[in-house]
Amino acid sequence: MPEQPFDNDSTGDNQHADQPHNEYDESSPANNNEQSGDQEDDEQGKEDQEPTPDFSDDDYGADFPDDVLCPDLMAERPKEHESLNNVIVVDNLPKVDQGRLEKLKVVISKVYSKFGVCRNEYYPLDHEKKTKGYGFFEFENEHMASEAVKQTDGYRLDKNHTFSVNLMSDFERLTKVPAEPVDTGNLFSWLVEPDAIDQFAVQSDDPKKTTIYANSLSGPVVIEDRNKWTENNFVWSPKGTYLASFHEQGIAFWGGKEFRQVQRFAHRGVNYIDFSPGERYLVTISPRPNSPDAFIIWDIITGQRKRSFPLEQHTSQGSSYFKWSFQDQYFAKQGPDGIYMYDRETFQLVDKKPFKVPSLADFQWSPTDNRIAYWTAEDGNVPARLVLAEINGVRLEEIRSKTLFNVIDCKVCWQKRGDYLVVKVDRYAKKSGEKNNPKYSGLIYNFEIFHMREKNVPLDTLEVKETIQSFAIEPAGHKLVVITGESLRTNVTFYKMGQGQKSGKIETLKVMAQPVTTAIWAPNGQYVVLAAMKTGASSGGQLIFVDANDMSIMSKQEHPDLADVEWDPTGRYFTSYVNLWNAKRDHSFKVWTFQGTLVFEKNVERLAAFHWRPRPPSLLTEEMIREVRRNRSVWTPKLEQRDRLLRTGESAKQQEQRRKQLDEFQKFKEKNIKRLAIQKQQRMQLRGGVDTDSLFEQQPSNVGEEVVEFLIKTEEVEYKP
Amino acid sequence: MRPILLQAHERSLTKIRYNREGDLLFSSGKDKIPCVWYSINGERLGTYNGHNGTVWTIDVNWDTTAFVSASADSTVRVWDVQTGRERNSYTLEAPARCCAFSYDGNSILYTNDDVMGKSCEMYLTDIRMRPAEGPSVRINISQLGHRKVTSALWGTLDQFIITGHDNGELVQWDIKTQDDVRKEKPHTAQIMDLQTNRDLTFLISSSKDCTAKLFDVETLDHLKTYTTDRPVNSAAMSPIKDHVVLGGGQEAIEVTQTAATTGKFEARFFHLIFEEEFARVKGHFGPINTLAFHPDGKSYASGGEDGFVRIHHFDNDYLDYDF
Repeated sequence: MPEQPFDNDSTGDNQHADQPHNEYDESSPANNNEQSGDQEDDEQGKEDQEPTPDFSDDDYGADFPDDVLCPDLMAERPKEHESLNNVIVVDNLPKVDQGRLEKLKVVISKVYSKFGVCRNEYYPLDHEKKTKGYGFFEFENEHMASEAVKQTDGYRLDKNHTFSVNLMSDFERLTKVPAEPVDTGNLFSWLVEPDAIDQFAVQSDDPKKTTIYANSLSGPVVIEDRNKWTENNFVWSPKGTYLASFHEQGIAFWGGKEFRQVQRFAHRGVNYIDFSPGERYLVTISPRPNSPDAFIIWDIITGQRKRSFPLEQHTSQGSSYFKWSFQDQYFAKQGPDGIYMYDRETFQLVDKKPFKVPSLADFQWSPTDNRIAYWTAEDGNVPARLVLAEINGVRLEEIRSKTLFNVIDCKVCWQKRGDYLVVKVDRYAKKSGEKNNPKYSGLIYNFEIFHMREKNVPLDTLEVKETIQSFAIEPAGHKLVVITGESLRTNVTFYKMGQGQKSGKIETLKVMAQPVTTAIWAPNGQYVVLAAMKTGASSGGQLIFVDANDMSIMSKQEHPDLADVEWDPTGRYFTSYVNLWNAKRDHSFKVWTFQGTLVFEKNVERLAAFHWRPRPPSLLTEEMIREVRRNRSVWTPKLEQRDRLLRTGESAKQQEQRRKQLDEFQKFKEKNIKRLAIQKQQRMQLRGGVDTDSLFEQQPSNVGEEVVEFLIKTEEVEYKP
Repeated sequence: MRPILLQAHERSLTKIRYNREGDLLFSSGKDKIPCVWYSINGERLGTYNGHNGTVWTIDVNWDTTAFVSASADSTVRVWDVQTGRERNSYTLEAPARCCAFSYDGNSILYTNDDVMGKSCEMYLTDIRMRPAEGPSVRINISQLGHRKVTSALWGTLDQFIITGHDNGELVQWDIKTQDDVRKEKPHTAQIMDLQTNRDLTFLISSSKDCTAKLFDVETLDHLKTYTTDRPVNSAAMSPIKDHVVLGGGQEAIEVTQTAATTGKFEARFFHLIFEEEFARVKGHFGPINTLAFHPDGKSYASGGEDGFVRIHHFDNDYLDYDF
């Protein structure tokens, strides 16, 4: 396995063809054909038991082949792979018995007669004399066949049968050249670690290095450290299975115990990538204008390219161009006249047309349902609207909506569990200025909160008087944290949005005056860290760890020039880091416990990125989690004992090392003491016979008694004689 | 316990020194007037007036009778500690940088900077002789291929001298032969300070390369390294515990651009043997330029770019704590 997933030196496709790894390179069809041609030759040779001339160029000129002797003739000679190129394979045909086969033949030949004369057709039968659901059709020439493939691949015969059509020659190639099976071991090996130790990766820019740590009980331990693993950035897949590295030629995925290469996606100049939440699909984005495949959607397991999209004029660059529904079933983008939603089965528009939503501003999928929340901007006299819609078959049905006036902007946020939909609405009292550059005054802020789990989805409105800096919804709970005010003079307000099935008035739980910019909830709620990121006005760095159960501040810490923070996926640890983009020096990361105790800190020169490895969602049901909670008294002593064991093991190791260091140093000191003893007379001689070695021991011979009086500033100094 | 703030220097501190008994604390700064204080309560005893430039280094002899100061006014002066009267003055061709009393207190060494086309030179003089008689030893450091001396002290039994240089080099000089008998380059940037422990067996160097290192005085064998993320201006060894204290911080020239929290002007305590940091003491609002342990090990003093000297007495917790 080469360390470099893509060969950086290869500039042309010819070089690629020599490498066994580059079958995926679709830009070199010539090479592929050549390869398949060779294989066919072999196949045919076996079947016909006849020596087959070799048409590969390898032996060119070895002894006089026919090509040299009579090139004109040879050019016209029929080639066997050509005949294979005339054959197409149609899959997903209806399976019928013999009685209806004739009818099927008529239907199918009707489909294919428009491409040319079908010389031959063959429907394989199973032992019950029923068709197997696929057939072979031979055309007169290659062109007809390829045209037939192009036009009927994906052809819908009826509701249940969508054709999958390939050239026979392609078929040979596709079945013959499976990606060599790479033994990556168990891709989930890090999850079976018995102590549930989480991992994180740190990327430094110069030298380019990616380091993966396991955050063990006694502190992070390096488990993988590679130079030039990625060219500029790395991304963990949403469930943590893969580490994606970026290269000029595309994306490489690494995983398993030793982080070996698992998959590659060739996409030149890729800048961003995005995953479907279930980790089934990858979107790679190479924002080059006029490129027909600026966006490519891949199947992650097979590495297959599913569909590509060109870059559109109004496209906002960035990774979340396509938004995926919670089970990867749909993906949608915002188009010029509405929501373009695609199905993962066909990779075609659902219902073959977009959902028309005039002046659509933004939309977001629910993380737990096939529901979409979107809002439309004000357009002339038409006010803005906030809509919650559900997918019903091929239709998008509105469940709840609200009309809003004087809207500047909305921010749509789903709670992680999908229980709440929170929309921050910025409104104005007065509007002036030109149409394209309006000025607003008398800004008003409020939140529209949808209670998703209640009948008819009731809606609450929360008004906020001050400017909203940021807000955060408790991922598994009912609290909302809102940070308001101007920079450095901010208030943090905790609200309770409701409790389970009850809706109603939104309760203010606590207001704290703390100079922070962001609130970050632990992944399972309850704990929240209020952090002050570095801004133009201040270097920030305050970290306030809050237990939202009783709104108590557990700890206040600092990390100056703070760039960003991240919780580990289990909510046990919290990290803060300073990277090269926001500070000139002191690029470092610190690991804290959820209570705000510093566990580890490390300076990483030119730190570029820090990310915890995500975990897949827990497989435990609510019921099982409750069971664990109930039996906490049984579990706690066991776990504590295990922690103690691990700690003492670690500290024993450390003590052992220290003892060694201490012993070594002691020997050194003893040597010095001996030397000092030998030199004592000489030393005394130098200082006129006075022994100054034992300074604080009583030396009656040269110490007289003296009374010294001091002026003591009692207001400043506590004097202890 | 609350620290004692000594507030007399109008400009940044360059050096502080305890006398052997530890009852007096001497300090010098860029404001030309070295001071002497009672270390127990911070009361100022007096000043040594006469210099006409920054006083870079000071030292006091073992029986606290004579005090020496090296100044940028190109003079090195020896003073009577008790009266503050100037005893001798040695005039150099360039600003003086280092000075130190020998173990017996009869000789001093001093060096000058290599500016204004002059070489960096080191001189040894017996203070009982008249200055007019000239130094007993004069070594041209620059000519021997070394960079400017930034710190210097006497070795065991006054047999050799150790100098720290502005390229991070450490040199041991034999006094009799005047040769550079040992040359090491443990640091990648300027050595800011050299100190020994009480019995003159260990040497600790502080450097701009953000580390302090521990050596054997005689062999210059490198023993330990203490790493921080800021230039280290001074490091001192505890006389009673296996601890060292490091002081420094972002360079003064860059300080205006940063908040006090990012400058990291704390005194950092490291374990001598395990090289692990275990405590920090905040207080200064500029880098710490100089540090000294009280000879009884129960307090230490730091002088900063901010012009303050702070005397910190350790809590009993510290003294009882066994690392």
